[in-house]
Amino acid sequence: MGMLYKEQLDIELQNLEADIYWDKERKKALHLKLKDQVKGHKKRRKPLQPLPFVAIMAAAAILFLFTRIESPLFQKGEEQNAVADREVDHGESVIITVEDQKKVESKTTVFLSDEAMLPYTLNPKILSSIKRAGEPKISARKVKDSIIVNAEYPLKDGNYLSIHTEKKQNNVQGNNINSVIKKEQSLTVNNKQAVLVREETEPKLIIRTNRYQYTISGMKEENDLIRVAEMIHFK
Amino acid sequence: MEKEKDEIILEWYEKFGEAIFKYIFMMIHDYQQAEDLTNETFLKAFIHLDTFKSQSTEKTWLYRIAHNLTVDMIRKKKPLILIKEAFLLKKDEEPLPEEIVQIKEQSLDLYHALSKLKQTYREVIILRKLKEFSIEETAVILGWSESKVKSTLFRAIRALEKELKKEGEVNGNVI
Repeated sequence: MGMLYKEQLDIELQNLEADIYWDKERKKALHLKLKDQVKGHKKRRKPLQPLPFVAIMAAAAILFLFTRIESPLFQKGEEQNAVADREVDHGESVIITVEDQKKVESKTTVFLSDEAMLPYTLNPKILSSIKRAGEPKISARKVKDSIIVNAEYPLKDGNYLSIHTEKKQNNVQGNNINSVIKKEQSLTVNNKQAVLVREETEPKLIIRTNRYQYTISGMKEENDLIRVAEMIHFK
Repeated sequence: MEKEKDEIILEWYEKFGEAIFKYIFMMIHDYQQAEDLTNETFLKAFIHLDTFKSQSTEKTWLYRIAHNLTVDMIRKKKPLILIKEAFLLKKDEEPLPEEIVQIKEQSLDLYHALSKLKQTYREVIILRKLKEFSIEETAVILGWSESKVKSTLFRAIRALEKELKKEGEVNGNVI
């Protein structure tokens, strides 16, 4: 009897594996994501590959010699560099206060920056091409005294609606590279200057304010990008 | 060589991706994180493919990576869960993940009973009984001795039977 029970349990355990079903679209989406990552990884490594070992060694030796020369001129230069480094380092050693944490962890709004907020639950009724599949993933960083947040809303098709916030760059025209291939269109959205970039795979919308730049991507429909941009509440 | 590497990994994903996702999902019961960890497993395999020695099979190697990532995640997640409980007052109003991961009704009791076991018990049962790895392979994946696999599995099955009995008493079912 005990033996029979054990055998039956074994069979049921084996069946459990088959009885769990994972959505095929999600599996496919993960496959595509992995493919992109693997390709991206290869691209990042490529520039180093043509450099011969000897050239790297020679460059390292020259660098070593430079750092070893002890002249007042070089020391002065070092001091200046040190000051510059300290300034640059501002964004790396930061204190996250309880207030900061509360802002980021709010469940009614997504804090993008000190001037922009987005409703935590995007209004799905006015977004035709997306179906959300969970809570947004929030990742926050502090640059000088400003909290900057990226938000990724998981979608049912395995993609992510992404809002990426960064300190404003000098040029808002996409990357300004391949502008012939990419089609860019200037717009005014939510009373802010914006650029709609039509890339090969999917469009993205970049909104620029005086201090920040917000990039919205992950949706096929350009109108939906604009609708999400219109949901951002600017102070 | 690089081209071969990504072809290998994508091929392995096709072959083992779903099984590894299910293994991680049964360990952490969170489909989003299970997808993230499945992705990370294959990405890590791609990065470290040169270190893969054919002493174990690729399947065992991938499960070992998945096991390490999952255990790491569980360790890191523990304090986070406490913080989350303290901070997050509002519950998720999003649709349940049933459309993404489904479990047939006939296996639900077993799934729930399994999820109530402690992590080591759950994992050894999944690897030996669901995934049907040998004792030797299970020992490689978990980084245990073979005798530890045997003794832990014995105790794990007893604990599972106990859980099922409890559930049977509650639901009025008998296996």
